[in-house]
Amino acid sequence: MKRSFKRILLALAMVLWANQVMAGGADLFLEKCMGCHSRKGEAAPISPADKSSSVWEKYFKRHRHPVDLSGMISENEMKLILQTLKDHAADSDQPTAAIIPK
Amino acid sequence: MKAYGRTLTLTIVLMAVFWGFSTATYAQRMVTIPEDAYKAILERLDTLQKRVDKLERERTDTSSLKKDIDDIYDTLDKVETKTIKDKLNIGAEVRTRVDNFYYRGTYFNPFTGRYDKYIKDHKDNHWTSRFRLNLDAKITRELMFHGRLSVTKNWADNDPENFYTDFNRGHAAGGNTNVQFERAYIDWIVPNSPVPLAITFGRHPSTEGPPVEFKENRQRQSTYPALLFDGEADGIVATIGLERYTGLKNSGLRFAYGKGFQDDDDYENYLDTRSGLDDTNFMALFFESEIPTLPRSLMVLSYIRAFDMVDNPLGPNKNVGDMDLYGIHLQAKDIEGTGLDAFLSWGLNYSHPGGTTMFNTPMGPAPVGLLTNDGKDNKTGWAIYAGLRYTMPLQMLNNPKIGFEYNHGSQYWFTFTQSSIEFYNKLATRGDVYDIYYIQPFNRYLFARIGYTYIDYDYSNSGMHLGKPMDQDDILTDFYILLDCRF
Repeated sequence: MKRSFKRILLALAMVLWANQVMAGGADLFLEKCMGCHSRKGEAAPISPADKSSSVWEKYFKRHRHPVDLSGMISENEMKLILQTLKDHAADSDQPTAAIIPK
Repeated sequence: MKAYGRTLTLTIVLMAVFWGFSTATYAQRMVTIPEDAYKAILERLDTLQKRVDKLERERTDTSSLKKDIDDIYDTLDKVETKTIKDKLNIGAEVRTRVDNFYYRGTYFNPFTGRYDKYIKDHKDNHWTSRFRLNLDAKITRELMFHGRLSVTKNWADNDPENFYTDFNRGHAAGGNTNVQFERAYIDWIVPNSPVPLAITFGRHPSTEGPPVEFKENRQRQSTYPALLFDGEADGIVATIGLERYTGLKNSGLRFAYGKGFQDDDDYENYLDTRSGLDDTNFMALFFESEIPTLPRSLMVLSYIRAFDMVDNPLGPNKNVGDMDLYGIHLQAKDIEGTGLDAFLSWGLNYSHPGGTTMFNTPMGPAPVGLLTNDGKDNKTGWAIYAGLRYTMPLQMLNNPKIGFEYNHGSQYWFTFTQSSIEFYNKLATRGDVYDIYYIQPFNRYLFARIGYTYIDYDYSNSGMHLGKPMDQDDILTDFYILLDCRF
């Protein structure tokens, strides 16, 4: 019984760890992109909803980002960030509630 | 004379030699070619010269590039004009679900005149369809529109009678295929306001609020937490943005006004009837923010007061009193990047009864008041609603999700949740509800959900504000499968 419980805990820990590795796109976006693309940053503020999913994909495929990101963001990180941008792109489901002005 | 003659001779000889050389040199440079070839060479030279001139011009003159840019601008102008003329973005949702209900409860036996216990009733293979047309437009930077038209219907339902109220036109399933006006509202960020201020008016985003989006596999759908208010409603909301003052992300204070019932004359429907009924008015106050240090989270503190509630919205006869609702809602998505979402919602209601009205029961008409039979005592009810959802790290299966929800309502619990996504107003239950589901996404637009809900009613008339809730031991279960496509 004790052994089974340990196994379950181990499995749960592994699954949570795997998920943590998988699900870092949103955090990476905040960390790597919003540093510059914020209200007081060096670049104009952006939102994933600025472009549709396919346009985001083409944007990076065509190297249209004005600054070379290769030294700042690894290939794997870029994949996760791109997935986050696509998940929240203009053609994705958007949250709806009465707006809160900033 | 001789000397003159020698000099002349020498001069002649030198001239002859010079001329001879010149003639010989000229004769060496001469090339004789046919006239046609000569013309062709000249033409070719002319063409080449023109090309060189053109290239030189293009290199030094940017007019050609400018022309290209102008062409692009012309094209963009056309696209932009077309986009602006389009005005609306249109999306759609289609859902089909099949439910298998089982009910075990009391039943009024007209032959004995008593309630018989534990009548079992199955309703298997119950199919419904739902269609929604979602609309939105960013009119200007400060002005945004959202709308939704919807139909929810039973399959092959030919019975015209439906229990529609203004709260659940788009959500209640019946035989009607009329498209319902579920929501249409404007967000207006007031320019040059001394504080960040937005006014939201129209038929509100007031259904399927937090945390229903977890179960619905989508983004937030309403301003208000689902445990307190889940109904289609017209209203006006003023929201003051507080982020710049408090430092709390997405924080704001909302003042809301709406109506639960508006009296109107059937013939001149801009006038009141002369029945003396007061309108049911809602006033509410909400504070919401992201929970500090917890990204992708939400905290909402709520207070709602319904003034002058009517006895029966489908045929009101009397005002029966006021109701206060208080709530705290907390939720977080993808906690610490683990794929785990969690929520906890608490609600409390407090009644201010204002007399009795007659209510038809199987035993005949009987007087009832707000959460009481005598319409005199204040009553307090409460509820708790908690749940978890986990997104599995299985990319080959499109990251399926599994969720569990639990809610409990006390004897006097009452809430405004008539537009529940379930057909049985789960969150109004006076008793316990256990709800488990599995979401299988097929792609970013299509998913299936399989779920099982178990409801144990401890008290009668869940979701109804009239009469004293009596002891009950009824059970309702639902096993369902649905397919949902949203694009």
